[in-house]
Amino acid sequence: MINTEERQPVGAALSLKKQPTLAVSRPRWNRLNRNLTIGTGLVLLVFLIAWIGPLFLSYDPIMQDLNVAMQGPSPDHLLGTDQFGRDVLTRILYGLRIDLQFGIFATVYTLVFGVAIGALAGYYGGWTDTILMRFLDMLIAFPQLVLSIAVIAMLGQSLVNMYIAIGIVGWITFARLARGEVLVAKALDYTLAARTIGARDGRIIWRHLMPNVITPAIIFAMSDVVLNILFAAALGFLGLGIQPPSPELGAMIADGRKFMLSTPNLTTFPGLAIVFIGVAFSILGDGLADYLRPQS
Amino acid sequence: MGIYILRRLVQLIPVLIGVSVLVFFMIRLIPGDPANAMLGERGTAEARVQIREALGLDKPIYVQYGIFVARLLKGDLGNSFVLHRPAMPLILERFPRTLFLSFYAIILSVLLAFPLALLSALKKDTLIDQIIRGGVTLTLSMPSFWIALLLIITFSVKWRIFPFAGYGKNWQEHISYLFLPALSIALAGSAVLVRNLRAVLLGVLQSDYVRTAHAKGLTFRTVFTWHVLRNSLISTVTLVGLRVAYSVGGAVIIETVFAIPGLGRFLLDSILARDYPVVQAITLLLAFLVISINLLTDVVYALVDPRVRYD
Repeated sequence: MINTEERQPVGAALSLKKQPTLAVSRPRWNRLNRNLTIGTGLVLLVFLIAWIGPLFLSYDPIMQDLNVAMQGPSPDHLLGTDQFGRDVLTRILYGLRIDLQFGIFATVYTLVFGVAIGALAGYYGGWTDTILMRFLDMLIAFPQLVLSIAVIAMLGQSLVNMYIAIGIVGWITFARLARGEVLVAKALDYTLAARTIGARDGRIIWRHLMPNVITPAIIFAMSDVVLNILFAAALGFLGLGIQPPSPELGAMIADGRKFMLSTPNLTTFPGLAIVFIGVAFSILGDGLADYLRPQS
Repeated sequence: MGIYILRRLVQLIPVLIGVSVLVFFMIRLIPGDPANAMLGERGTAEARVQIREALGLDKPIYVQYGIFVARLLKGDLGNSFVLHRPAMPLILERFPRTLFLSFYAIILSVLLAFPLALLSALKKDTLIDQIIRGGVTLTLSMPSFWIALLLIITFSVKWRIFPFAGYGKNWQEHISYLFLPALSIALAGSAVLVRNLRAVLLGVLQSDYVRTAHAKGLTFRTVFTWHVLRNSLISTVTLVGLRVAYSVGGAVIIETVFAIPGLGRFLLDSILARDYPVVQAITLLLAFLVISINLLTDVVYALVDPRVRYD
């Protein structure tokens, strides 16, 4: 009697679960493949343009040539030149590199740091967890951009300090995501099974929990790359980021602002370059989300 | 309800202490001797001693924090090194402008986002939905300051509809002067809102009570007004509350683009002038603002959603 009672709900649950997956699997699969393929293609294209593109151009991104200053687009300078006679296209391509590097490194290091802390706090719970969550509550109270700007103000303007400033706020979302996932996963049967066969905490966290916990973090990482690039561009625009003459895209927009009416290409094209990176990573993020979590 | 608010206020105490500790340590982040950093190479030994005393750097750290908090409670956040006046009144003078801009931006973003999210959810997977979602992805990738510049070129320079800089003298002027700045902040904010609200609306549209309402034979209009709209508005409150911090952060950048004499611009000027007490004070004030708004959001949430328990 007990056996049948136990079996029934399990069977019912299984059949319930199966139906919707079967019903939606085919059309959904096509759609997600599309997002993932387009996203990956666009991101690869961004990298190709940023690293291979400059090889086809003979201009230096920093060297000035006042004889050709403020020219409109021409066969020699496809996107024209800036007030110092530098080729705008060349500067944008090098700018893509700078912003991409910042966006990706900042994301990777905040992801590793945030996921590690979040996972540990979620796994061990207790005081560690309480203190971490209160600390997060406190950091969240600050408008993130304001806190980062204030930190850079105190430390001084440099690339390293930009990484520190983004690090202070950037790990929060990753930590919250990882903590939430670990809280769920540590109560599941496979964790219990691992513990039953005598696996140590380190092994359980690294081999059993991490593969399940990392998915939402990786999906969020794609939007975070965009956010970090927008952050770097905003700092550049405010004059607090990567310093001129380095061709950072935000700083280029700020430079071009003075000539916005006469030569709008100085502000328009660097902005479009940022939008291009953003769209590429966003589509990749959507594709990954569908691919890694097809049930959602 | 009163007890609920009181309990939330008590819960805020550790957060407020934490925020004050963090802001307190900010000046101590300055590499080397802050007095040297503030004065630069021109500083005399006398001035150095003065600054060290003003910052209380000669006392033990816990005493320094005690003094900081005692002053804070009196509304004294030190003097501006540049303007030689107490930082607080300088900040309060500019604060309403930033507040006005932030709220203006939030109102605009809701006005933009709600109809779009609704349309997107009702026409799920159609061309309209695809276009709206594409627009959201595109907008989320645009730097707000760049949007601002494009808006200036279009609306201020070409069409001359809105002024391109300043704050205006009276209410009507504020609304017109701050329209483009608020829109620049609102566009990015509304993209996030559309995305989240669409998910909320889809959840509500597919819920059992909406299906029941349809099954009862209620008209679409009734189901929509009394079941869908009401329940999605509750989530909107939280989502909008979460946007406040972003809106304030956005105001910092946008104020510099439109030359609005608000806190953001003041923060930036103070950073460039190494006016650390002002930077500290503005950061603290903005953190308090976000905390208060979050509290307000929770209270409003509790008021509109009967499921939230007060005890």
